[in-house]
Amino acid sequence: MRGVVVAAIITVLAIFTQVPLLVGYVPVIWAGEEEWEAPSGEKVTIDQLINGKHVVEERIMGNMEYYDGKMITIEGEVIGDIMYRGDYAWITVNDDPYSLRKSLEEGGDFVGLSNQGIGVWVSREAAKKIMTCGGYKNKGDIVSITGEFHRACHEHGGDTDIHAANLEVISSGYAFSHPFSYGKLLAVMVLSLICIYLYYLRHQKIKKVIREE
Amino acid sequence: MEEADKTLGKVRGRWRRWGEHALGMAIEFSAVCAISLAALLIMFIIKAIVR
Amino acid sequence: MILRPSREDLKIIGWAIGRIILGIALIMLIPLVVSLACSEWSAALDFLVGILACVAFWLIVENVCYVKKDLGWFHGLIVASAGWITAMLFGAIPHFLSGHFRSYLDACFDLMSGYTTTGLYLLQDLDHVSHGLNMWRHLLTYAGGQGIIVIALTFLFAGTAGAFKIYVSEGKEERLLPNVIRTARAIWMVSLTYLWVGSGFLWIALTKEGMPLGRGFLHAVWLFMGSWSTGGFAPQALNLLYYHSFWVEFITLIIFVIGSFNFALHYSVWMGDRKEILRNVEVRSFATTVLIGVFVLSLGFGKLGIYTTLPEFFRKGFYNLVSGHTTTGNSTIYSVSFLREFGWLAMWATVFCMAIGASACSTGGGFKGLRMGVIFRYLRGEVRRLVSPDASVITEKIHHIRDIWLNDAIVKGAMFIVISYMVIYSLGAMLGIIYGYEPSVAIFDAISAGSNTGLSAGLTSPLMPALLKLFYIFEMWAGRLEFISVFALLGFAGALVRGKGKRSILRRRR
Repeated sequence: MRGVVVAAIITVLAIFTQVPLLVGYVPVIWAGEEEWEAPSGEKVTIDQLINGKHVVEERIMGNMEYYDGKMITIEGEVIGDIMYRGDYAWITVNDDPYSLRKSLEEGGDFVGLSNQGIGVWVSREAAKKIMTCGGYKNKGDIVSITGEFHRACHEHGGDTDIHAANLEVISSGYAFSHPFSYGKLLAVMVLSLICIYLYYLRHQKIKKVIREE
Repeated sequence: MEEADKTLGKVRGRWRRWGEHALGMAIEFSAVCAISLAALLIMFIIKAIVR
Repeated sequence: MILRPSREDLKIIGWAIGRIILGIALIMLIPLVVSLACSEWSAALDFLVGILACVAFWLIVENVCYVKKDLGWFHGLIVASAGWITAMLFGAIPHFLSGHFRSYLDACFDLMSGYTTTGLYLLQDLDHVSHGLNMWRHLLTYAGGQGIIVIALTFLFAGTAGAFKIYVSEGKEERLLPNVIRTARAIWMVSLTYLWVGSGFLWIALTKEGMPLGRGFLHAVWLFMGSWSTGGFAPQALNLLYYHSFWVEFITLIIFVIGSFNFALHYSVWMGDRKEILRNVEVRSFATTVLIGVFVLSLGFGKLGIYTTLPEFFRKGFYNLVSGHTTTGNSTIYSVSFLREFGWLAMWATVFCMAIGASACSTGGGFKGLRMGVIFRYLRGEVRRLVSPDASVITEKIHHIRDIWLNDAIVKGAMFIVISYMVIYSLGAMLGIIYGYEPSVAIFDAISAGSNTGLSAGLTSPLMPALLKLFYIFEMWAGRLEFISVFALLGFAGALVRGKGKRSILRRRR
């Protein structure tokens, strides 16, 4: 009896935890390797990153002090909302693989990160150029932003941000097509039938108990 | 006093209760503010000393 | 001698867990409505599947586990601990179906993190998540903050005398009112009132900061739920940094500090005992430890010369420190910044505050202010005893709603829980270090998980090893339930395997 229980527990654990991952060793993302794979797939060295086209935000976040006050260029998807504040506006630009390649909502692959983005302080006119913001239903505009990076911006209460000098829309956003999932509908129908049957059983049982009493 | 409360309670009971609750919220709010202010004060002093 | 639980014991436990799962199905109706309203059909189907699975489980249990008997103390403990695990497995269905999780384990991690109001997450591509799923994420922290059991008690357990026994097992020892169902309702009254008020203020602030009305409303409700329950979820990957707003930060700060107060304190303040807020041991303990934390934090910042102006200090330093102390986990900086920007002193101040945590019988986790108060007073008493003449009798008391004289049993109980927390903190940290993470990061995240905080220094990610994910789930669960019911469950499992005879544990216990 005891053996069976132990074996069952081990099996469940093994399935549940995906054994290969159990023994696998995963390094910290911020380990600071010499080379970094940009979301577009190419290998970039840290020197190329500075003032280059692909300043991966993870890179910046690991070396904030180095980049502080420097002009940098990032490329990414505008996410969420444009929040206008007077003559300026806050936008959020994500340059993680989900934004630059394919979002999970349009069938992209798992990358193993959550989103990586940064707040960008842009002028009102520049913000007006953005037509679509990313979300559940939309892919946002891909923009290229050149501006000054601040690790703790004095103007904005210590926020880590970029003050954009230039904003260009590289490609415009589009609506995701969420194909209707017939598999899920089938699951709903099967589960409903099961529920109805079980409810009927319960009803009978309650009746029986009442009669007995 | 108790009697008066009861007779008033029928008319104004709900509003009085909400008043009490609002007061409770205000007190809790001010407690948090007090702690925050104390924290800022400490920060201010330390800043003066460290510099 | 350990006795094997009888079939009847299992049935009672199963019946109660079924009710809790039915409660989960009821809560899932809200995100279903939200996704229908936002015409997110795919997300709506996820919730339908989830609801039906919960209902099916409940009906199976109702059919199989019908017994005419009430819950005993031991059952209560098992129902609480096993109920949370079952609720995690069922609640993860919509999460997993949404397609934002690499494995079911990841989905379960997020669920446990939500229920226990932790706030760590493994969800990928958060910025493209449906409104329905966001509603569910935040709603479950809100629900978990009041206690899943409390919810089930409010609606589904009317009239059972055993209800109190489960209630107590959920890390909430206090009865606000003599009747446990009414206590549960009082907790709800406080939470729901604040829900209206807090979301209202947040909505105004968000609208002022440039959010559109509709999305602003949803974000306001979500932010309220995330901060009131000291959960720390936010609808965008940048967390609170997304809003770039002093007012939003200020309001959420107020909400999570108030949310971290003891429900018994809320209740007595709301019912007219206004001096309690000054005399309460937990408020005093919280204020003391926060101020100590601020002292260290400002020393650290001063040394490095960052965040030195008052608004910067408030929004980056104080906010994150208090967010850690109330075990919320909303943050206004990037998670790497704790290691790279804060510097040693400030980071350790945050760790220290996270480990201590919020108040007992609140939505928070950690050692709890009550226990810190007890231990502090006990130490003070010991010192006083040392310097007093032999014949003198020295006793210490604490004030929590009423004066409580300290005795050995109270001190022992407090010490036991605090040591248990320390054990899981250090086990988690060790495991992280073994896996090769930087020690301070491993310690930070382990304490964050064990105290249900949810700040991360960058360790928690979908790529972390599965064993570490499992251990973090365990940490969050054990930390939230405050160990007793977890130990009871382990004992129960042991008794199932190794126990002797067929007699009921329940009868033996009495």
